[in-house]
Amino acid sequence: MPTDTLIQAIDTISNSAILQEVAQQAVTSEKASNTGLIIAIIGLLIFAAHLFTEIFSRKRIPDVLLLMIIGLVIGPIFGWIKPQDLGSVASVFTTTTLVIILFESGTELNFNTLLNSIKGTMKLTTINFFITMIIVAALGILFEKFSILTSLMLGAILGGTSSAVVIPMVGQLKISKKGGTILILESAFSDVLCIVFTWAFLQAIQSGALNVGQVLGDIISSFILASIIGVIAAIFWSYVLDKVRHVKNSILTTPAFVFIVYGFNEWLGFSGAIAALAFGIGMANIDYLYNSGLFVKRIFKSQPAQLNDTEKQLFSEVVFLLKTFFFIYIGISIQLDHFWPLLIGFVVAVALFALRILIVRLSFPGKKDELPAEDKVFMSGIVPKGLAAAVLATIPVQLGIAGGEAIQNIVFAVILFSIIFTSILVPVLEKNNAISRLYKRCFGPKEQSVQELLDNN
Amino acid sequence: MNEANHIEELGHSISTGLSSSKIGLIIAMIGLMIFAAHLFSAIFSKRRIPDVLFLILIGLVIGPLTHLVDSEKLTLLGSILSAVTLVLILFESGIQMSFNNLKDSFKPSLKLTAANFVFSAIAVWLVGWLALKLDPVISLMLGCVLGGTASAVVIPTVRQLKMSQKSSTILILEAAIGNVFSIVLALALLEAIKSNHLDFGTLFGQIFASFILATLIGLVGSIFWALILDKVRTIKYSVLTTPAFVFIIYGINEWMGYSGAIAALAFGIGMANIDGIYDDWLHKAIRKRPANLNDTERSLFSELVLLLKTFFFVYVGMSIQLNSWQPIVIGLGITAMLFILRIPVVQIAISKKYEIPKQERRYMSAIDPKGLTAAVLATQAVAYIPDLEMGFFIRNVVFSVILFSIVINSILIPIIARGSRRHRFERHESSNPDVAD
Repeated sequence: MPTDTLIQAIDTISNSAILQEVAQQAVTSEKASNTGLIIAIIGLLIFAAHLFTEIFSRKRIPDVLLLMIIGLVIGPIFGWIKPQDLGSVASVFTTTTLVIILFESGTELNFNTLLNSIKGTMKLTTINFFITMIIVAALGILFEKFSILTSLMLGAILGGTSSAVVIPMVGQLKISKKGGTILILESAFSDVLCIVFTWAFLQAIQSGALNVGQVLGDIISSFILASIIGVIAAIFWSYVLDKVRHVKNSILTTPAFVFIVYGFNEWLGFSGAIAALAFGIGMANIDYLYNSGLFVKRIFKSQPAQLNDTEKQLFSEVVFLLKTFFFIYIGISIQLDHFWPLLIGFVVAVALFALRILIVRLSFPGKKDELPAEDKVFMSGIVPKGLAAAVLATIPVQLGIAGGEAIQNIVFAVILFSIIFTSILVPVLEKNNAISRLYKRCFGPKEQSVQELLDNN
Repeated sequence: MNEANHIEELGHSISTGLSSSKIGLIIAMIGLMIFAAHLFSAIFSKRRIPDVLFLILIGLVIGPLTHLVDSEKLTLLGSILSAVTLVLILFESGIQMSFNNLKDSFKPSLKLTAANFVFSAIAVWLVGWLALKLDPVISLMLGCVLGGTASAVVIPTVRQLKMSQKSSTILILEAAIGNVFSIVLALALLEAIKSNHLDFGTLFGQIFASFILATLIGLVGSIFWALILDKVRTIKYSVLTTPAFVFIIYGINEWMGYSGAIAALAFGIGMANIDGIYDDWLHKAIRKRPANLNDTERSLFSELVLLLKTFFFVYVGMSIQLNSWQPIVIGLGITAMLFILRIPVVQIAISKKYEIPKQERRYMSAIDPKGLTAAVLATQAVAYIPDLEMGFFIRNVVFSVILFSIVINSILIPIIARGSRRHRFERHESSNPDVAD
């Protein structure tokens, strides 16, 4: 009896809230005492980000890669920071980055370029998505013996490109306005396809039936309605912007409003990302909308307000800051402890980059597309996977789908390798070397160069 | 073992993998919060109810009351957010201070800091020791933790009250200097609790080093930065390198054991007065005239401060612990006592010769909020005090004082403002009987 009591007492002590709290406290106070150091490191990282941008413009070594390496070093390699330390704040942070990056890139796009690029974007996005989905599904069946539906789901998760990687990269490249816009739009549009198809396959796995009509309906509503909401929100915002500016320290209300538009769309089940992009495009082209003869002119008593230089400067400063910490976070969250998924991820990434050449050729086959050969070469080297893939990859595990954990690990590995490959390929393709010549040959000697196009125009 | 890791990983992915609609909702909430911060600011200018109070209430609602957000999971990020907010608020308030004003305000500020600290610490010590029957050293440590005021609350409050430059500087300096007293003395007492030994010489040395060297490093940092600022500006997206540099200065100081907060404030003061520093001391040694912060940079910094301040106070509200009522009631009692004490303290320290308007002295008596430093010290106390339950009790009392001191601070200000308006109105009426009729 006394032994029982003793065991019970030990149990009570070891399970007591106090002990757990002490353990938590020990960790907390240790980390709290390091706060000064962490703050200094944050400061240093901002300087490092500027240094890396400078290195990119001189030596063409991508800043993205260097930032990810920092993340890898402080994360999985040395274990100073674990993704668990950041908790769910990390997903909020990555989404915030995505929203701001999309909005800011939207403010740089004008309607004429958009109309010019939309056809090419649609072709590239759909061809890339479906070919990637089918080939990745085949690889899934081959390596992991997944069922057809599970493999297709893996393919759908990896069918898009990442806005958060593509947009900053396009900004640093010598690519035509049209080519850059196609890549930016592809990254935004493909997220919608990834999300809708992944959910459709998930439901099919759970219920055993695939509803094609609903998939199409979801895609259309997600695209069209999110774009409409984004543009209407932009019209509303430029209507009130002059009044908002009277309030002190009000510059950040514009991103705050984008956050609301994003959240509202996600809540309705539309694409918040598309809405954020459409909002940016709407703000940038408000004069065009005003003069277009649509209802817009009737709403405004005078010329609508546009974003001014200080506002634009602040947004790009914020994008720079968020981008820096986003790539460091990607590095931190890569898992290096499972070798097999890393290997499969590597193989899938290699396959995706090889396929991309074919996809770009299929999307832009002739001379009519007026896209310089250099642009197509860059397009073939830019297939990074990112946030949407990472978020989608965690869902099968949460729903307890068979093979869910393997899917998550493979997707994380593909994200890592696809960003590394993009970062390495882009500077290589810019120079005249064997690889860039090989890529150029894929698009044929008859392709027009930028110079020729300019001459023709 | 592998299985355990696997389950842990799975648990982690489930706990962190928020659904996209949930994240969408959080992102929309963040956007709404920024608008709410502006709304609260507007409420303050009309009704004098401090925005800080509303933000803390939001934090309380989403944190301890409804458990929508668990602040325990945000410990690391919360401490980083708090430190970043503190550094930027101090730096940004520094860039609005002129040397002339500092000279005027330094003496009364030092007097106010010392008087408030000594009276508060002694009162809390006596209450803890005699009424609550705490160990006298632990009780004195509690007094030191609660001796200062919180920069992150004081600075926005004096800004919104549009107090004179002199009074604002006195209160801002009081908060910065008081924090150093709190940190050095409370940590020394905690070490004494652990080792049963207190070295007064080292203690004074630490306070001296913390002040003087942190100020020196901050000022030298600002001179260096002002000299290279023109070159830095040629880099794209470089506005945020100035706060980044302040972070480094803060971190270096904290790492060396000096006050990072004082250094950040000194850096701001240095940047604001760089022309004076150059004309008085540097022009013979350095030919190049240092650069000043421009309007765009200043406006971006104040935008950032508003943003950080908003989330900082929501976080403060979230981290208040409402588990047991005893520390909450004791905290309320201590807070009431500190606010009553503050009235004679201000009367003693800020005599009429300093020519501070009566209304601003009234405000000074109501501005005694506790904040970040007290919270950090209370958290560390748990690791030092051998009796664990006692450690948690002390921490919860401090958290309660933080909450009530900010709440009382926020309630007293509109009352004083209304009182003075009524007073002015009555005076106006008595001087113009015709109007009154």
